[in-house]
Amino acid sequence: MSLLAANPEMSFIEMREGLAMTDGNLSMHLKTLQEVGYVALTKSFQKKKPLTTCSLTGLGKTSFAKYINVLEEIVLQNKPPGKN
Amino acid sequence: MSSESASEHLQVIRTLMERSAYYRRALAPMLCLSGAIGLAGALAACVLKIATHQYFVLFWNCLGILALIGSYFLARKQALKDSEPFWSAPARRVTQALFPPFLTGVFFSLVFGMDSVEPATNLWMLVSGWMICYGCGLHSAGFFTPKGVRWLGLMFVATGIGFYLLASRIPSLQTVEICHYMMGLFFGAGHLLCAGYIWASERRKNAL
Repeated sequence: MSLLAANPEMSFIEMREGLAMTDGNLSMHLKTLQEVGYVALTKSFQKKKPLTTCSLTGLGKTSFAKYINVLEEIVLQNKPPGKN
Repeated sequence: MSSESASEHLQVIRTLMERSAYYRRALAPMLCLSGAIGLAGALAACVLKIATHQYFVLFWNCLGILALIGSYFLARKQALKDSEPFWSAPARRVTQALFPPFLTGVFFSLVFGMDSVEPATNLWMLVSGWMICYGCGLHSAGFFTPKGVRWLGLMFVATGIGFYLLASRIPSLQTVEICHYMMGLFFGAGHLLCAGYIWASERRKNAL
């Protein structure tokens, strides 16, 4: 989700190398995210080789932003007073 | 969730987002190509005795376009080899970072290219301008590439300013031959040096 939040779209291989994950592990994660509607997968061909491209859906972007906000709130709430 | 855990999550997200913006194509071959073109160009310009504004601008712009096309061709070849899209988000960012300074360089080329005063005694200003513009472009693009590119950009800006200051005070540096030498030295040897640095640093990183 973090990778896709920083890029409009990424190939499966770019994501696999960026996350240092195995094909199977990444596929499982993407499948789960696709099922809940956070990620859209597009399959095409580049020079006769299959190319899977992933991108965040609108719902994915909103949910990710909400998640970041929640994390930030937790950090802020527990920060000692007087520190920025 | 504890504050430490939330903070750690945020740090991981930030690292991943930054890392994904990184341009991962091997830059050393592109810099080698640009360096070889720059050196060959300086030699050819001295042999061909290119001495007018129009020919100077045309000659070096053609070489610049050739180096640019060659670099994009090498990047595309690497992307195809790795089964990755060539026009990726980091590639777009690098191009966007390079575009405004390169456009400014083209503008300078047009201004000086239209100058018909002979003999050409003000081309040193154009060379300084090109070096500064190119340096700014590399420095901007360097935020999405290995550190060496940013240093190369700074070196171009510093030497562009240095050359302008020196040549404005020393008339013997204002000749067309010196301009060709400067182009060969910095756009040729400078690129080759940076390619060597990136190649060595990537090799060291891979060995760790």
